[in-house]
Amino acid sequence: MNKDSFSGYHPLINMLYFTLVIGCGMVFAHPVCQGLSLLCAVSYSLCLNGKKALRFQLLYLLPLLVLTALMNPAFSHQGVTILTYLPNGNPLTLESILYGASAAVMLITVILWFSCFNAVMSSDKFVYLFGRVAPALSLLLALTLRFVPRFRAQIRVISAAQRCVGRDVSNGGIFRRAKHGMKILSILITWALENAIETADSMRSRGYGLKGRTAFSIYRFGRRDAYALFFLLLCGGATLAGAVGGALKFVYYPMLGGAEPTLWQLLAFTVYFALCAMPLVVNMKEDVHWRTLQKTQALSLKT
Amino acid sequence: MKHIKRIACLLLSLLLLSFFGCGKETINRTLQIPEDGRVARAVFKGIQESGDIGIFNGNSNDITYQWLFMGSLLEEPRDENLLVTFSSAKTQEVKARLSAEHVQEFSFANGEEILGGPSLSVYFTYPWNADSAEVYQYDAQTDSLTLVATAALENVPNAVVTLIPQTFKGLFYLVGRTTQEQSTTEAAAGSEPGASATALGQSNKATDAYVNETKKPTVAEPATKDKYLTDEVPSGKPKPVEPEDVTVEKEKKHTATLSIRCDTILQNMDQFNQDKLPVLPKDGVIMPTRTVVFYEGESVFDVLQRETRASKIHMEFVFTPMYNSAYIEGIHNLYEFDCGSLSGWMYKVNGWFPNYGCSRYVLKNGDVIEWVYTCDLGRDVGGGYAVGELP
Repeated sequence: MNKDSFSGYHPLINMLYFTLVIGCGMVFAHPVCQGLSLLCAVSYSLCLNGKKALRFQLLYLLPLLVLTALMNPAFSHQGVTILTYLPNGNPLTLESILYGASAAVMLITVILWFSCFNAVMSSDKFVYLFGRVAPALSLLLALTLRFVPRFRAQIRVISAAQRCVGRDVSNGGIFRRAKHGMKILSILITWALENAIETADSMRSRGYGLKGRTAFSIYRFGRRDAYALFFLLLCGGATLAGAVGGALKFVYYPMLGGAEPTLWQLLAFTVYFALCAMPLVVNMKEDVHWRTLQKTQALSLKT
Repeated sequence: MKHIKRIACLLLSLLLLSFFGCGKETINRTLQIPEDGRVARAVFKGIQESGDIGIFNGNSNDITYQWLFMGSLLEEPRDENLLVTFSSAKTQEVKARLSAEHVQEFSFANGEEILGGPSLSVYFTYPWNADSAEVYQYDAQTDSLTLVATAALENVPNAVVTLIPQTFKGLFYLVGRTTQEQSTTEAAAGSEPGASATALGQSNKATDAYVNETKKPTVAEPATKDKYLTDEVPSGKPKPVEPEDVTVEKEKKHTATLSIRCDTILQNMDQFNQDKLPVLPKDGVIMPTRTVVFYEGESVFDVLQRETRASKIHMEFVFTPMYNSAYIEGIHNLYEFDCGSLSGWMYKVNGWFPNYGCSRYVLKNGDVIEWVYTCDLGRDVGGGYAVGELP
């Protein structure tokens, strides 16, 4: 399941989806909402980046989760359930531990959503969406987002070339190595500055940002995009209505307490889950569709 | 006939005015001085009986002044006139004579001594370029100026001069002094050179005599902050003791009373953080007044910490090195700023809100400790002065 079919949707749909999901993920404090959002974010990032995502999650996010969760009770001592007293004399409360866990989960979820966002929203999609509204800004954003990977690629090229003449960071003693490293960095910076001027000249010579300029794009707002837009607006609106209505309210201090579990709350949870899980469902549907197609083809070939 | 009517009307209105003044006193510590300056005996009697303090604010010529009476020092209260008039008849002349930059002329309406040894603070609207302040009395017969007292001068940020008046008859001058100025000032002109005492040696003598005469000067040394930013502590009140200098003697047991209340929140429910409603006691009492045992050398903070732990009441504090004291952030999950941006916890001992932290207040046997929640920087619980309230 390497091909992500949600990426094939219109950029507007991708953007709207991530805006809603990241926005809600940053605001909702209800444990159920957080759990649902985390579940979807983990699955979707695994679905998008595979093994790399799993390594990132286990190696970086899990320790970050534990660290953030433990940090809070060290500094916050609110809460009615006093478990014990810390060496500095302040109480250690159950509420502060749970609040720390909630904040940590929220942080992790948003980081995961952003990793998905990066994978789905390529820079051409970004420029396509915002190129008309804010040409300079969107170009700048697209360039900046590409900055780090591009530098990394270029530094590898420079390093390989330097190694040929025995001037890489792997050659010589410690001082010589440092000197070589500085040289490589200097070459990189020179290249970057020159490249930036070239890019700017190139964009200008093509009339970027001028009135009447058209841009080629392969994006078409089709029927499935219309359905997706309708679905997103419906689910997003319902979730936000639920949040404004207080169905998703949850407080940690001074004592744990949330909105009364009503049918409306259950409905809001369901809708929120449907919203978060949308790309997963789309992918799954496509997958099933593809397999049945393969099967029917195999059958037709046999006969 | 007409005249009599008018006078009667005037008298009646004055009576009403002073009556309202009395009425207010029972609920509020801080009072405005009526226009004629007369404050009835009953008011002082009230302060005396409460053992509390009484503050009277007044204004003359755009200068605000404040009288502070200690209930414990009022022995035989009577009607007093608290009016102070700030004038400028001879200001320029005195400035030249004493070669001082800041001189303020004033006089008392009372004429005779105001009982109870109150202190008088004068609030100027600009800072003084001086280190200390002195009070001179003008003698019209000999045309001389006599140093009668030193006064405390604070620039926070505008000048505040605090003195305990001893004599009340005649014209007085508040004079700003810088240290160098004092030593170079020549004796002021006068018919009797001995009577004018402005040279340094003589002024010291005069100051000493003044100190010996008075029972207890409220402000004897110039008001400066200590190294933990504490303003001067009023007389008769315990000075702060640094917690690291104290050794607690577990053998010597004492008792005190302790209470924790948050009544002010109930009066400011509109500002209250609604998430905290479940922990707000309906009657405002978190810990009813009770007798607690403490050991010699323990501070208010030590007692609070032990008692809240023992009663399983939540309490959070943070030790602030700048003030060398613990700061109480929240008790019973009611925190600072939970009821508006001016809210938080304050403490008083024997009715007085100390102007320093609770770790620096060492308890005596029989002290009455009260922790109260304020929603208005102490003004609503009668402790505005502890946080430097100006009238």
